[in-house]
Amino acid sequence: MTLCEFFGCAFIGFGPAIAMLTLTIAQDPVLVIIVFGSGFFWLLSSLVSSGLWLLIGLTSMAHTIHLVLSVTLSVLCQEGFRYLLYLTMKMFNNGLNNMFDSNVVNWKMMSYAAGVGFGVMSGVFSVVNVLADAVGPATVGLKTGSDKFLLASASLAFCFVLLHVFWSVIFFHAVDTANFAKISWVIVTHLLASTLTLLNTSGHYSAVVIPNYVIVLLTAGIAFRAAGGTLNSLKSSFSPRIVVRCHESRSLEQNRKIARERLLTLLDNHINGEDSVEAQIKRETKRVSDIISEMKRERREKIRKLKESVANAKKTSNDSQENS
Amino acid sequence: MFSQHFIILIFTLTYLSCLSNVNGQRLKELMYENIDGAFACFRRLNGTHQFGCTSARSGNVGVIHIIESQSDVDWLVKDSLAPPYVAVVHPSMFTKSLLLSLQSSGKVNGVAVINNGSAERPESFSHEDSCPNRYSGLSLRQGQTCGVQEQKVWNPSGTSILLMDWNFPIFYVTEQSHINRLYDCHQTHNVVPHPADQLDRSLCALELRSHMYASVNSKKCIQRNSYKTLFSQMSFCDPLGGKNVWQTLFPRSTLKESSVKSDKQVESNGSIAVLAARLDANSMFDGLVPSSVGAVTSIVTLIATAELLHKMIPPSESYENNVLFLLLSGESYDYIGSSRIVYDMKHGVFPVIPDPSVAQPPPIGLHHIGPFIELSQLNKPPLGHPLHIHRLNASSETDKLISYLKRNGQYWDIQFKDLPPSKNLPPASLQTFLAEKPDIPGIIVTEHAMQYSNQFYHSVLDDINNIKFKYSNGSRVADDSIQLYLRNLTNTLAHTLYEHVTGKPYVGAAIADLSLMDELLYCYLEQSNCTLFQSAGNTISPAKPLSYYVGVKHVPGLVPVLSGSVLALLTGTQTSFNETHCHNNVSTDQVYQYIWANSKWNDSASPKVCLQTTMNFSDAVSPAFVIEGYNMTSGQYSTWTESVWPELTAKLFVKPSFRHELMTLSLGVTVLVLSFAGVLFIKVRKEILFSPG
Repeated sequence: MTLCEFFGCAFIGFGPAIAMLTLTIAQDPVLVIIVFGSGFFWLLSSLVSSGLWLLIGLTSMAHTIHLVLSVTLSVLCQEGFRYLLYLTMKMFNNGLNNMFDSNVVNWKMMSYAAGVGFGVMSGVFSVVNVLADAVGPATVGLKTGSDKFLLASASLAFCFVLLHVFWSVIFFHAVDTANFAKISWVIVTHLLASTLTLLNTSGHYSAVVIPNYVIVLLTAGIAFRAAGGTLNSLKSSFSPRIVVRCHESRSLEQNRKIARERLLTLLDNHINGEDSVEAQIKRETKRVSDIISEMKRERREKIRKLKESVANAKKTSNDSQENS
Repeated sequence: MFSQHFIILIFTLTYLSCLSNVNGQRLKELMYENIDGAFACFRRLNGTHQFGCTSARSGNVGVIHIIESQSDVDWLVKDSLAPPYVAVVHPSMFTKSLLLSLQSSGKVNGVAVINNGSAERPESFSHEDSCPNRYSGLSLRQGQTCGVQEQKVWNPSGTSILLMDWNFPIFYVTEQSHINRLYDCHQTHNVVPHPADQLDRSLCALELRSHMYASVNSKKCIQRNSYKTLFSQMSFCDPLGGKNVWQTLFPRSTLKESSVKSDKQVESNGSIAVLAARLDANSMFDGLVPSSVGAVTSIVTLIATAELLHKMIPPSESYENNVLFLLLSGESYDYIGSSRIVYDMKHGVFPVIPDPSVAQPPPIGLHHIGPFIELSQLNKPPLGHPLHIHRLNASSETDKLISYLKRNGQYWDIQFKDLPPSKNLPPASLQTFLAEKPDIPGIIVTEHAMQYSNQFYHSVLDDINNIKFKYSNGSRVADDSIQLYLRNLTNTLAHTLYEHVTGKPYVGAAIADLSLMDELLYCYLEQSNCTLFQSAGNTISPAKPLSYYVGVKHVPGLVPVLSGSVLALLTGTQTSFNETHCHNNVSTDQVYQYIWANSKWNDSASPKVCLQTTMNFSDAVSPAFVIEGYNMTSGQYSTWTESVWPELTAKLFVKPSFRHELMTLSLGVTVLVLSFAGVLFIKVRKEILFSPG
């Protein structure tokens, strides 16, 4: 019965991840390798943090402090491994560049793919046992919590997938440019978002989800800047685009020339509309052809009338013969 | 700078608020509550039909609806809008008409009966047929008599719910905490002013899981049992059965000894008197088959009589006549135990298949059986009322037996009333013997006359309250108690059998031990790890009331084992063997069994001891499963089998409303579609978006 709930939550949590993987990652083998590699690094980080958790568990302390401390440690581990991933990928990228003598893959795309790997893996870990329990006939609400719990968990997974993508882009850019403010933004928001999720079991869903979405929006803005976007580019991306392709000739120069001419035409059309050269020519051609076709029509009409009068004349002459 | 401070502030606040609200439980534990210890109705089959209940393989889920009155039933059947439901009913509402209306409504997916024991007992509660074992016993020989032509039925309150095929599971919940949970959950989630309101909200539901593997009938199911796959052989059903307990008063002589003069018994025709009782009963629910009137009173009286007879007759004396004590298993299911004994006797293989190479007593045949007394449905009758004696034919032997009983009963304030000989005998093991050899001088001693006075025959309510037993535990037993009455009956029976054995009335002073009767009833009704059972060498009994369901062939029930060991403890003679030698060597000695008892009765401080006894077990498996190629539809022998099931569990949880599910799914699909659109947009415009300047 609640397969509906299962698929609903799975789509909410992993919708962006699925879209990113299929549309942007899957076509490029290097990016696929990076996604897997970064997923592996995330798993390593959770291995290390679980080892540390075990060490904490040996000391006696309150359950709540214990849990919060573990979350903090886990976040720090993840960020540490993000840095290790950065170093590894830097080496990888240098190797690639040496081999092919040029940028095979955009470094920004690589940092994005690293973020996707981190995001998918952490999303899976955070929500998979919740989803597994959701397959049964029940929903949350028998003892504590409400039926909103599953939705809240799924939307948190959604947040974390996106956040990890943004964090990676920011982090890689920040390490490249030695921008410590941005690095600390990543770590602080990561800690904040993670500790917020601890509230989820207590039923304050809006208190968890809304701040997380605020963090997502802010981080998205910073990541956009780090990836080279500006307010202007964002605006212009919504304006219509003119694309010209040309494969008419085997000569590149020739193709460029043709393309430029076409672009000129298209721009003229776009900007001047009715008054563009092409439109004027079209209009004139149409006017002339209209005149010609009008003339033809009039001629046909004349001929028809002539034929009719001849036929009438014959008819009247025949009638008169019969009468006589 | 300000923003940084602000963030740190938020961060600290979050930390602090998290501290108070953290716990790390698995989600499943929050979603489900197991109703442990609920008893489930299961499926049984005979040669032609299937009976009982089953759920779907993955369990039946239904919204809880508590039924306390007829208006609740009407609401469920007519008005309710969010099926399927699970009806939670009180025993007083649990009737055949209710179940039929629930089944025909098509809205009900299961039933849970709740009874915490303190609620008022319904007037009658018997799910057995109004004519128990209607088609077996004497019916095979002379046609059905019960309920035919103005004859009264034996069990007028019987509803036959047990003998119907229900397409939903039925559970029985007794734990008060679980009942409270059901009520709370129902109150918080399911109570609405208008039925349509149930559509919009998450509802409290139960999942009942009692899937049965077997179906159709025993024949089909046993055929399926024999199908083997490459890796495993799956079992679908098991024949019902267990062990009969039998014991002779005197050890029986072997063939070799009989040629020389011996102090042991050589049987002649009609020399063996039989005292029989049944060991099993029935109810709808697995693991919950109390049977105070149905079985315990008779078992206890039989054991006490055996003990008393051993005290009355010194070991030095020997007589021509013997007494056979029989405790029969599976009698509720068309007389499994007795029909097997009769079958074995007829073929000369009771108690064992004769083996000339071994010194063994000769087989007992039906012709050896003399007076036959069966104890059935015993209870303390109302003051001034007699016990009733039923018999098939009037004969001089039965007349003599009845006169002995009546005479001895006078001393012990037990009155007997012999009903006129009738073909319409109450359901009893004697019927099986009479069907084979009608001239056996047999009588059935019951508390009821022509109809059961027990309103809870074969039900979960035939429990300790039904005979008003109160454990005295060494203190003085009340004068009007069931213990005293059964003790007096024991004396009467023992004296009667003594007269049969010795041919003269008893003049000694031995009487039945009242504290033994008290302890026996306590062990059988209340606490199965009592000192008596422990003394008899049973240390691993679970500490709860015994269940008298017969069980399946491969897994014999606990009751025969306990009864056998108690008989051995109370009547066995002490030997000097140590533990390693305390077992019977079949090749040399087939007269005695040896039992390693923890201590002697009434002396728990005594050391462990090896007891020599004539008590023995025999298979109580229907001949239908012994005879090669038996025709399962012939009805001659019991063909009852029990289905195999993987689990019997009940779970309470909150079921999401359809609208909530639909909303979640559509939200998910929307997010997915929007993600694709967004990513596609960014991908297409990436040159413009991410080109600086």
